[in-house]
Amino acid sequence: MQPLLLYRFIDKKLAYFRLNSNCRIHKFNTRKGARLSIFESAGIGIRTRLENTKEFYLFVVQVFRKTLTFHRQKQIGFMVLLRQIMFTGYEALPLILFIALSIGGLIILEGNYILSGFGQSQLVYVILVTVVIRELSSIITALIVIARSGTAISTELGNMTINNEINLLRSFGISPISYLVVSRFIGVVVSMFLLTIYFNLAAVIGGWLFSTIFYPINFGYFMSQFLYQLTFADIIIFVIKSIVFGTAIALISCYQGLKVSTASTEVPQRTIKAAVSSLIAVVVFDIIITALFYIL
Amino acid sequence: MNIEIKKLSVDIDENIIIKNISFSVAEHESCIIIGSYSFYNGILLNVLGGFYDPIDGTVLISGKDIYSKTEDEIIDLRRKISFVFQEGAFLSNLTVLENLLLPVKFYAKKFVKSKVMKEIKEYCDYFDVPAVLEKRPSFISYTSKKILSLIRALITHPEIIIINKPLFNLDIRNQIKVANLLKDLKKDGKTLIIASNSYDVIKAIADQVVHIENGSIRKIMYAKNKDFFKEIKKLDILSDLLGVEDEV
Repeated sequence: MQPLLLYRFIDKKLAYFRLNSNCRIHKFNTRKGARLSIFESAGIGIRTRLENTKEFYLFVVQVFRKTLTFHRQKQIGFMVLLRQIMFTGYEALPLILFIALSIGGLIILEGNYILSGFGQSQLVYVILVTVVIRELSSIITALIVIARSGTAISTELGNMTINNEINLLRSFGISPISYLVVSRFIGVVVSMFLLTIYFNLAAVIGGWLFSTIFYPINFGYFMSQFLYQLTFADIIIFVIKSIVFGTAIALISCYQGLKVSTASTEVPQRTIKAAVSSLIAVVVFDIIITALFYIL
Repeated sequence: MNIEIKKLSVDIDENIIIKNISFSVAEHESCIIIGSYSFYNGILLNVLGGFYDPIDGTVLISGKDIYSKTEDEIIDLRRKISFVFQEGAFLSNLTVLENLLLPVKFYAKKFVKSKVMKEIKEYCDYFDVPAVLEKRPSFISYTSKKILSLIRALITHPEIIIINKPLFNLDIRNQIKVANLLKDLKKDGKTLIIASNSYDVIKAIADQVVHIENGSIRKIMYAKNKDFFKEIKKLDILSDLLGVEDEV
């Protein structure tokens, strides 16, 4: 018996698909004293990973499908969505602004110091656009969202599973994916997008503030130089990154949270997995998006 | 709506817990599941509720096998079934009232809060539930949780009600009230499946009693049989005093 079979609310294509089915085989064999060959162990490992990947893929498909019909459940899901935006977006704002102001300022300071030595102070705006707007804004915002919201989502859903709250929703006929996952997914993506915009604005202002301390400069002139360097492609890149990162963080965190089965000790394990996997996903997607930008 | 369980087997960590169980509950009838170990009864109810996958067998509700379909396909079926958990499960991030209104809001095409609130108030008055509706579930007593979870199950007007230990966590006064409420529900034609070792519950509503020991059916007793109460009274696992329910 498996207390929370994720596939039960994923897709009937998985009717014969059992979570950790291979681990069962493994446990059975070791219990009987049978030793597995290297090939058998490798085969079991690969198969388990493939099954987990397939399960995650179906989970993602289901979340996207349920997102399209979210408006039908707005009576009960809208409040969860607002709470998620409040927690992920609004409550993280002071931290984001503080970090963005500092990073924007530091980049201007370092850039001015290095570039003025070569008589290329104007390039500091290029660095601000390339480093902050294109790269750091979405990456640092993603790190903060993983640390604050990704772990919180995973822990919350894991505890809900243990406390029978997921079964309670299922007993009402409410899909846990529609009610719990979709609202968190939309909340995190929207928050991530807005926080990245705030990060960029704060970083630019931080850059100007720091530069005025050491090299007094007019705000209008600073902004005109900055906007001159800023292209439409830069904006598109940070928008795409923020949405992709938000999607990855939300989906991975929700998936890991719902994978908790019965023991409370699984909750921190799944939370760590959620944080690590989200981090890896964000870095990988960052490389892919940046590479695509230069290739295309 | 009738329920039919055919050759049901359930395992936990590769150990077979429920072994080849078959029985059926006709529409408007009530079935009491008894047994020395409430663990088996709880597992069986969870399987009937659609929460655990059996390794073998089928659970047919109105002829539909709930385990061969996805959650989306049985959503209409779920709306006709209410499940009351032993501890009265609540969503911890909502208030008690939000918890009560959640399934009603979800089911209603047009949600009329005043109508539902009137119904909730009537039940709260009946059970003398203190003013806890605006509190979070973690701040209320087990008794209140149990009663409120029962109220939540009733305000959705289900056709089938599955209750795990209806008298558990309740004081004698509330046990009597719940027993009377169960009688009313039976009169109203609800199909009831209840796990309880209380003789009082059996006496009040049972049409059939399924006796489970070590995960297998030992005996099924029907109230229409002449010797029903003689057979029931022979069972030493039952408690016939309100306020004492066998818990193992």
